[in-house]
Amino acid sequence: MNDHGMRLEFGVETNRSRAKISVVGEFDRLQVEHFDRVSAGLTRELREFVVDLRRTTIIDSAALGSLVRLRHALDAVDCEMSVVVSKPFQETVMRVGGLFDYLGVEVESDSAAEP
Amino acid sequence: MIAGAARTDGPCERSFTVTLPNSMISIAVARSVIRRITTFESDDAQSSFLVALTEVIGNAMDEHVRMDIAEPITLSVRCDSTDVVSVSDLGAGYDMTDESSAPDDPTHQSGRGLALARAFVPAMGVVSSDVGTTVTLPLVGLGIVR
Amino acid sequence: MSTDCRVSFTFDSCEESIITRSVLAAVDQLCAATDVEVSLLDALEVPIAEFFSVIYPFGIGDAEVSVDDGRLGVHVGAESDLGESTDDVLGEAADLIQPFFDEIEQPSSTCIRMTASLT
Repeated sequence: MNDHGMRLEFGVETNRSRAKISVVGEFDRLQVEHFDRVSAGLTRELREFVVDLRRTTIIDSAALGSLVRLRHALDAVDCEMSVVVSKPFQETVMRVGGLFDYLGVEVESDSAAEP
Repeated sequence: MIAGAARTDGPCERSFTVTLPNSMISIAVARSVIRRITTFESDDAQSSFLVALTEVIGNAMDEHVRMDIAEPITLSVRCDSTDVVSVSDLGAGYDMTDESSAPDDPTHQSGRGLALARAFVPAMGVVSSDVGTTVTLPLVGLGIVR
Repeated sequence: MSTDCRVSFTFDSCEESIITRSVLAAVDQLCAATDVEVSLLDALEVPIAEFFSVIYPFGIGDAEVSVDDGRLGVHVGAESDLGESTDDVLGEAADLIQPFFDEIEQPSSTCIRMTASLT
């Protein structure tokens, strides 16, 4: 078995007022700089921003910090934010991190996360 | 053997230690080592344990950076009646109880790491002094090394 | 923060499989950080596993994986004498290992080191 593919990928969808960034893989301190850059480029002129974490395999405290920074940036432009998770560990990260309500976390069924 | 139960095939004491550089690649190395040698109870159990490990390794690295310690941190795996992963640093030590819960203010960008580690590995243990800290993460209930 | 890309192992009574998998984890992650071709990483797993299979009967006490200037190094310290030459040590496995590692040397009678280009 090898795991050199287990890093991070982003998928970005945008329309005029909504953006969705899908994070796949390991969302951790090694990757937050990349996430910050990608999300910073999307925050202008939006009304809704969705962060889809359903296909992450790792979410650490650095990733949570990155999401808080994103929330701050979106608040400044009056844009709503939500985070979608599906796996138990993802929900636990959000709840233990005290961010379930603050980030607008929605829990969807695991099957909905399949590509 | 059911993952999570105490080993019943007799003690098979074996251990190894990994010396990791003070670089973020060490987090990826540590996770990869544990991922390869452990059979986890489920994908969620794997993610849960590896998030805890990420936080503990990250804290150890941060301590070495803070104190400008050039020596590496160490990851140890011990397998006998239960399997335990340990992370040791040479920092100044600290009171873990001060950081075992997330900050009350959600707008804080940091301070959640140990709360996450303890939530995912409730049996996490900490031995800390002014010459270093060792955090133990038992795999019981989450997986076994084999 | 240090930029040293070197991971060291010490083993105590570990099975060959545990040793091989843990070392391969280090090889995988250190090499992946250099943007090496994924196909090369996949291919390296077989000769490295074969290498540890050959050395294991001598007892493996320690190992080190390093990546430096585009070259992968795998160093193993055995618990008993490996013999006179690397050809003696590797035996028939040399045909599988040597195409991937352009330098295989014995710094001492109980150590063997292999290095390979990652480009």
